[in-house]
Amino acid sequence: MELFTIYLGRFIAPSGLTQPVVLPHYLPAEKKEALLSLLVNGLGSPYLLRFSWPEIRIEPEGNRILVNNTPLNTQGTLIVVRVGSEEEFRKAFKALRRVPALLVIYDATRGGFVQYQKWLYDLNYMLVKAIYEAAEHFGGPQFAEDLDFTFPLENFSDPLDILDFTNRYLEARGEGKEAREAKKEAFGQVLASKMVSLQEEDLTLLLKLVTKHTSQVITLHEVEGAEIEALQRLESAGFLILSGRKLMLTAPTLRLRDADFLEKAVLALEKKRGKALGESRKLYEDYLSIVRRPVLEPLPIAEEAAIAVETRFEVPLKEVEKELLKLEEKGIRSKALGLMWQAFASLKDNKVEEALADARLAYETDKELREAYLAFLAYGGEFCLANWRLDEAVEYFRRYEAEGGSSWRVFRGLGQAYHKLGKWERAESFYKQALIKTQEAGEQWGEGAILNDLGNVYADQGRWEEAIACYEESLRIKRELGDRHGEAQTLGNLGNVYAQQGRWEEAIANYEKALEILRKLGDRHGEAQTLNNLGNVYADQGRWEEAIACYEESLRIKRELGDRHGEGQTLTNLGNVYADQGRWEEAIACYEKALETFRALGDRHGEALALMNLGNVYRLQGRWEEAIANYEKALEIFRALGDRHGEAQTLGNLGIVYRLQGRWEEAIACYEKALEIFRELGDRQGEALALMNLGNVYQLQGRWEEAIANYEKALEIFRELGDRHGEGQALGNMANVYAQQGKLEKALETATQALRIFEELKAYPDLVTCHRQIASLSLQAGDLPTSSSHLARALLLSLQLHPKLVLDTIGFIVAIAKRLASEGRFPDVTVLGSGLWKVVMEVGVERLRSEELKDFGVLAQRVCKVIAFLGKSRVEEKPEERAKAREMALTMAKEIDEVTGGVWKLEEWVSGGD
Amino acid sequence: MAIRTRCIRPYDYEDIRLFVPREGYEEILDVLRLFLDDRGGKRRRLMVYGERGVGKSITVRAAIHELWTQRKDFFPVIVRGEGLNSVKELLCALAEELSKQVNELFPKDKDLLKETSYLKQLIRSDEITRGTFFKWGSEIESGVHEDFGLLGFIKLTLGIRGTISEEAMREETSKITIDNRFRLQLLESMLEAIGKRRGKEPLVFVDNLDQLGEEDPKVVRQLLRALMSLDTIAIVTTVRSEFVSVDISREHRTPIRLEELKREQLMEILERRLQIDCRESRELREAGILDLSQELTRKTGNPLAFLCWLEYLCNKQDLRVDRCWDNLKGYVLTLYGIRAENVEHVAKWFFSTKEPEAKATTLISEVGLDESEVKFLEEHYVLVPDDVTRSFESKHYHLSPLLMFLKPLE
Repeated sequence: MELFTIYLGRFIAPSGLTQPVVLPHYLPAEKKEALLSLLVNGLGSPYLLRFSWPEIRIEPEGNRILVNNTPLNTQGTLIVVRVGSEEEFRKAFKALRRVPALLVIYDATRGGFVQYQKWLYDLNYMLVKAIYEAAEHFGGPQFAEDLDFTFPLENFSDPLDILDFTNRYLEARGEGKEAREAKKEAFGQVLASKMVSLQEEDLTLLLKLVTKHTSQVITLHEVEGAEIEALQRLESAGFLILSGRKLMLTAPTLRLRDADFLEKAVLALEKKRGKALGESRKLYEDYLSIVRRPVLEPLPIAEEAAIAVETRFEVPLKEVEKELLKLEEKGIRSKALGLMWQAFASLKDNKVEEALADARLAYETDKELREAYLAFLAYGGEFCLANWRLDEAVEYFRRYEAEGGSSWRVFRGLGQAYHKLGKWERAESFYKQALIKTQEAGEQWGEGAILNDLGNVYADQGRWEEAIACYEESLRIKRELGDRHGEAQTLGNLGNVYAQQGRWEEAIANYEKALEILRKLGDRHGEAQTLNNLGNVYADQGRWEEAIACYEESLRIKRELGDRHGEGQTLTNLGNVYADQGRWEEAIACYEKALETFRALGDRHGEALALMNLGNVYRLQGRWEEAIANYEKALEIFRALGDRHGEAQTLGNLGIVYRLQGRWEEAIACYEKALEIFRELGDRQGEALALMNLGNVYQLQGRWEEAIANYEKALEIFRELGDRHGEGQALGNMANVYAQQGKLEKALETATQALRIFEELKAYPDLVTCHRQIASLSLQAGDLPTSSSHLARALLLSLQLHPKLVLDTIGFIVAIAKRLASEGRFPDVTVLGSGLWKVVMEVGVERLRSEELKDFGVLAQRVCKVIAFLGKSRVEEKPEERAKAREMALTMAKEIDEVTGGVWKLEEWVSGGD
Repeated sequence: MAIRTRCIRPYDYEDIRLFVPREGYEEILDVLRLFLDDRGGKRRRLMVYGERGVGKSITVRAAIHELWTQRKDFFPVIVRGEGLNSVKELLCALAEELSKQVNELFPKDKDLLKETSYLKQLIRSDEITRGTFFKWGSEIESGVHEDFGLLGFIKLTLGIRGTISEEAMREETSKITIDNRFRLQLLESMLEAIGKRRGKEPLVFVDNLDQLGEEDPKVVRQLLRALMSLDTIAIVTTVRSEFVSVDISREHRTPIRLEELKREQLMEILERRLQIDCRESRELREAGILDLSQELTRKTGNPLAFLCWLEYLCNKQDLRVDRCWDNLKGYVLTLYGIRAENVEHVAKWFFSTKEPEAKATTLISEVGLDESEVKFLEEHYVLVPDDVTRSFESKHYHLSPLLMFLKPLE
């Protein structure tokens, strides 16, 4: 170990070291020796006594301590005692702590007991101080000042490293390197000299700990594939400290998470070894590529808006402020200027009206403030938009336009405001105007962006084909321009539309493409959002585990970024999945957390949405009153916000509760109100959905003609919108009504139309429903083979999708079997049961997607078997065969009832059939 | 710009007085003066108590120091409890310290030196035969001209009225047990005699008595009582607040409690400290040290912690109020080798429960640490054990007072 080139002299005050001084057992022998020699030097080379505890004897009557039977003369000596266990340590400490030695050091030879290390940090402190003072003495104050006092103190836990670092630092400075660079260089070399003795796999492990984890303390089971021996080797090299089931990274290891320092260390290491790193090099490179990406700071909404203004309006806010400052420096127009400042300040405090009044007054007083006024308006508009103060946003943009701020960006801003307000037609027309302006100006970037926005409006309107066309055009332009960010955004939007259409595979493909780009760009915000959307698609498909995984990943990123808003949103989605799975309590917990988040943010809109979702869960649980209470609260907020869209949606949900409660008139009132709003907003899709809901109530009331009329209207709209999905659903509902009216043929025809649409769309859950519907209709028509084949398809599809669907389908099959049995058609029951059983067998349960689905597959098989046996027990000629079949059916039925909680009451059915 | 300063920390004995609680200090000084004026009077005993780090030891020391500069009619005998393992060791240390002082103060008084060396030997033993005791007595009697208490004590114990030499030489082998009571009486008679005969009265100061490494706290309490019942000598002890139970404070009507420094006082001290005209004090002023200290004093009245934080922050690149808490988190890493986040939850527990100390089992069950974590925090002195020589289960831990800045703001 090289010693510091400046003479440090006596610098250790023994009383300054926190007692007891223990050399921890994991330090390698040579390290201990080096530390000891440092202590000896720092204490002014006292006489050194070394022995093991067992060699010591204390005379019973007095204070005399004997080592190997020689009395110990301790005055002014440095004593080093080797202790091998806690017992020995405690005894030694008790006996020696009042010995008048200069310092007693306990050298732990084995672990397992508390090895006090605070003194090491005290020593660091003394050492750094001594270095500083020596440097000041020899090189003058400036020289000492350049030696950064705090860096070694904060980044090394080992005084020897500090010495090493200081030497290398001085060397680098001597070569003429600048202080900061020299610091990095020296740090890198110190670390490299520690790493050079490591085996390749230990090095890989170390880099994993540095690059794959974020905390200082890591539980051992979090460390993949690490053997305890490897960790111990790293411990003795000083990279970490093991403590029970956890490990703690030491200060220099922590500093390695800083990319610059890691790079220096790795480069120095490679130079030392004379060859590049092996496996671990990739870890290092990946880490650098992640860490060195442009960092997106989580921004509060207002700042985001400011940036949006800067990028969109080409009037950087800071520039404006600079201008204002310049004017102020000249000392003129101070009053108006002051007002303008005031306006900016009020805006930042969310006092939107006040700000506008001040700014206008300032501008009217002094027309030369025009530029500043324009910038203020633009900034204000974006600010309001971001804070969901849409009417004010429109006001700001309008004034901006009136002042001659004629940019396509204003039109786009207005379009966005109206879009958010749910005034889609207006939004569309503004976007179109903006589009024309960009095309005229040859503004390609703007064109791509606006096409994307326009696509959004269409998508919201359910004009999916148009939306897709817009997105694709936008995508083309963005790709041409190489605007990767925009590309990802549009891909995401395209994914959204496909998802809404039920074209899930395409949606997933688009999201994944977007995700790939966003990850490459390092856009964590976008990544989180896209993951969230991907989760939505999985959720729609009933791929719950995948959905939950996506949401959780998204949530993790959002929390990391401090994006509370997004957090609330994703929590809501997570809640939705839990609700779909029937995990009500978890769902409610998620929604309530989301609610809390939104309330904390003061996001009324989010709050209302969360309330609505809570209402939905309560509705699904049958807790009507609570559901209604939540909906009403949401409704109140939406109304206060002027969010007509939200209002209508909530009304729709409220209608559903009333419908379920049988409060039909109230339900109809709700739907009609919703319908009215949707019509007002021009939200065709909403309108169609409200019509469908109305139809549903009428159907329940037996008001079939009215039901059909409503469905037909909805159908018309869906067709207009190109909403195939809606079209299919409307057709399906109509088929139901026809069936209830006894118009079997018409019902079948309509249902088949719906089926075709769903097949085209690959809208699987709807397909299942549709197959079941046709099965039921065919059965009514007496066509058992067709019916069974549809049932089989429904069952198989459900098994590919989600457990809830499987349960529903099995229930449906059981119901059909029961109906057949009640009609005495036992041979048919047998055929149905054994046929379905065979189908499930052939598919092979073990090939199913998830464990849960596999279980449900087995359940389906068993239920089919029960049905088959029940039929057999009535059809078989020999009484003993019949008894046997009955016996089998009964046993299995019992078992199934037990597992399912008797939802289908199979036992009752089987035993009561005599 | 980092300010590497010695301006913040006390640099000598005089200077340190700036940092002791002033009211308590004056009070202690007055009491001690009274003790010395009332030489030979009874009930001259004082117990000083207060929170950790509040400066009990330093205040008493400073007071004794000040008295020492003013009057020479006494000499201090100071022992510290924390380095010693038992009551016997403490009494031995007292004898040792006494002999040291006597050696320095009265190097020519052979009688006194001789008696104190016998005293040391006697106190260290656990038993003695009457014969030996007799022999020692006659040795002292023949060698000294004046008795400093020991001889008288020996005679009293042996039941001799006249001079020892007049009695026949005894060869008794029956034993006298030397227990702590015996030792204490011995010390008392010796100290009393020295004060009477030599114009300088010993003032005994037992510092941190409660940190005596005695296993059983009851024994320590007994010792405190015994010390406080020594009627003829002046004695001062310091103990921590948690040691002072109701019965102790009832028995000692006039203990002095050192309060934590009030915030304003800390600020005033700093102001006065900065009045020293040096480059560093100007730098500190310019860097806004006062603003920063105001923030720091909001967290504590404990001068020890306050000084440590200030010094650390002075050595940071920038002294800034808005960053001081973040910077102090770095201080945990520097001083303890552990990140503040990893300490925070333990700290929170101590702050929220207001428990001064806790056993490992409590920390495990209530804070949710596991054994290795407690050990780990102990290794890094985040949790400070009352006595490192105890077994893990019987240790009591308190939170390092320097971590007080993790306390939530009031």
